[in-house]
Amino acid sequence: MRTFLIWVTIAIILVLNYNIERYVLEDIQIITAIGYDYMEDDTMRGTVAAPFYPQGQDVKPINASFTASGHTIHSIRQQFQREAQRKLASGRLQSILVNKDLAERGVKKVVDSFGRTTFIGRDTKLAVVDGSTKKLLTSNYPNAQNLSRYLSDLLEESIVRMAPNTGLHSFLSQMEGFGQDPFLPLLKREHDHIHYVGLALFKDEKYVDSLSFREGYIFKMLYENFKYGIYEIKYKDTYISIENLRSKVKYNISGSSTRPVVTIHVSLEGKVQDAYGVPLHTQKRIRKVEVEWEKETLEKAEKLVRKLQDIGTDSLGIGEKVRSHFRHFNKSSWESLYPDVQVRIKIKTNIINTGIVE
Amino acid sequence: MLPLPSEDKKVSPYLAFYIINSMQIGIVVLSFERFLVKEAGQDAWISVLIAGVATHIILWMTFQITIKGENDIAVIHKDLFGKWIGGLLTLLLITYLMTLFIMIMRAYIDVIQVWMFPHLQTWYMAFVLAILVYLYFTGGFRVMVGLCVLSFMLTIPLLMLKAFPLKSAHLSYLLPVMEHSPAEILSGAKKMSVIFSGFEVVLFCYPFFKQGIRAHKWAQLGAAFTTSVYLAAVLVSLLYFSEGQLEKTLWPTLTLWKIVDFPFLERFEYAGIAIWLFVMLPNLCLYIWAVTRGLKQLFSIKQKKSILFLLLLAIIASSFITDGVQIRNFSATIDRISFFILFAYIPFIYLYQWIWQKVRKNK
Repeated sequence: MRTFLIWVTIAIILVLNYNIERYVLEDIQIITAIGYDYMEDDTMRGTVAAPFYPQGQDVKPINASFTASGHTIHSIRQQFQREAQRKLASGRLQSILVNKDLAERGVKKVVDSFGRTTFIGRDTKLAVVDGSTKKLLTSNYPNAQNLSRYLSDLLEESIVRMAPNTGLHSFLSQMEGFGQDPFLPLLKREHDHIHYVGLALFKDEKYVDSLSFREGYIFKMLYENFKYGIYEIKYKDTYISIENLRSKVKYNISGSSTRPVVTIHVSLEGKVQDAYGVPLHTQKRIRKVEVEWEKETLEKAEKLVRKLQDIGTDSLGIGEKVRSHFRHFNKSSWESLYPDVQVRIKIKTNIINTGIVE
Repeated sequence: MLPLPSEDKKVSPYLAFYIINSMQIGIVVLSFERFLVKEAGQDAWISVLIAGVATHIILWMTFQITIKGENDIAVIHKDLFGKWIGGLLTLLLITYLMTLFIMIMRAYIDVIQVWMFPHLQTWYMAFVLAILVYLYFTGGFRVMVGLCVLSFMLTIPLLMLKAFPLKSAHLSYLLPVMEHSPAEILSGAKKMSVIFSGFEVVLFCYPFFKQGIRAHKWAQLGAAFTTSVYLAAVLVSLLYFSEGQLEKTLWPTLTLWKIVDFPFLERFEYAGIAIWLFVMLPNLCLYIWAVTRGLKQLFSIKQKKSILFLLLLAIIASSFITDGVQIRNFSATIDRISFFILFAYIPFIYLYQWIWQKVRKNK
């Protein structure tokens, strides 16, 4: 009897003091995309897309959004709640957008908050928007029913074939790590579509410049191994497009720690897709295309690296690679060293086939 | 002095593997990388290896003490130093184990509060954990050892998850090897050696092994396995986080779990924290068991009585530690004491016992 009473007391204590906040799926509105615009001084305007699922069977979600301004991410979030019917939950936040003006002034106050909270995942996608994020998140898009789904699919599925893979984790780790600067996809709202423009380059937390779509593709080639996409080259008086089957990149560091020499070896394997008016039936002719391909890519790659060095952003992470090569590398001098580091690029091209016609 | 436990209360020697392994792996696996990286940077994994080797030596000494004494540490203390000083030493040792208990409990509650339920009150969760510990405790020593086996089984799948972050690993983060000076690597090893603590519990549970000498081999294997677990953990974290980031991340392993993405489960860390309860439950149970066992040896208090008082104490003490900074300061203090116990106290007892036995033989 006594033990029974003790257990009953314990049960009562546990039941009466239970006060954990509950999130029931039917009672919450899930934030799936969020965007921040620069307003003035240190004020930002945040816009969230939180699709609203009406009751009933087979209903389609309604694109709903909230806009509010404030100084910090979470104070803005509280402002959204002032207008929302249900409790807003951010556990499935998939894309975070930052307006270009805000990015130019530094995004640390945005990413720090998302890196600190436990409520969102680490592979959440980040992107910079040319123009207003509010406009982008509140417009209707005829090619997609659900805006936030469109945005996250675009960032996760479509553009990974053309742009290096980025996310909250890669941004934070590049921002805080030595010898590397972050970069993000740059989006723009155009003709009722969300458009991938190119890559936004950051210097630490600040947006400095952007790469065009084509440059971004060359950047991906220099940044990581991958296997999608198309190279277009001008050959004699026509154009040839070559599908990328395999692209491999390797960094070699030589020289001394005060005068490092970086050699980037790229090997490309491709398949000819468009070659109107170019007969490709002999090894020799194919070899010619390969040489032309190599030449053009090399030119573009060198130009790109030159550009990065001129604006002083180490988006390729050359600093990190140089540091890992030399023992007791002087980290403080790297900043001044970087623009003049000699970067050699070696490209090897190989056309594997030309399709089912000669 | 109590009689040695009867045969039906003892466990097989091979279970020492699970006991040592699960005692060494606890709540600290989630957060240990940060301390190491502050000391030894990308060479932190060398520190883990050095600390692992040191652990094997101290574990060997621990077993030698109990094998020669043929009983638990309370009795050995009494033999070596007499009733009063020996008793005082035992009391200090169980106070240390009790503080460890409170620290682990509070650290786990902190993880839940930060990661899952910010509104959770400390005393509430401490109360729930205390009931859980009590229920396993009343099952007896053998049930707790069973819990250790269970915890081992759960650690393995959790370790496999380390493969997910490897997809975005940067090998260059590990290079160049031995960039840090030996002094820095050693101070990292010092931090690490404390994290390997937990096997001190052998001092109390040795009499519960059938053929204690054979248990030693298994215990060493358990320690080796622990080292490999920590080594894998630190390597993955080093490859995945940049150094600046790792120094700031409070729970690198939990942050790594955020990457794990199953088609049916978007955010693994919530499941991970819940599973982790079973990884740290054996720690809680065996620590408090050792404390009650020590109290029984000293004052002949029944274990089932003393545990109620101790659990109440733990609930009250853990609710007095209110914020994260306090927890980290508290655990830093305990780390210093642990280091002293492992690398000064155990070798001292070992040497003292060795000399004492030589002297006695010559008489």
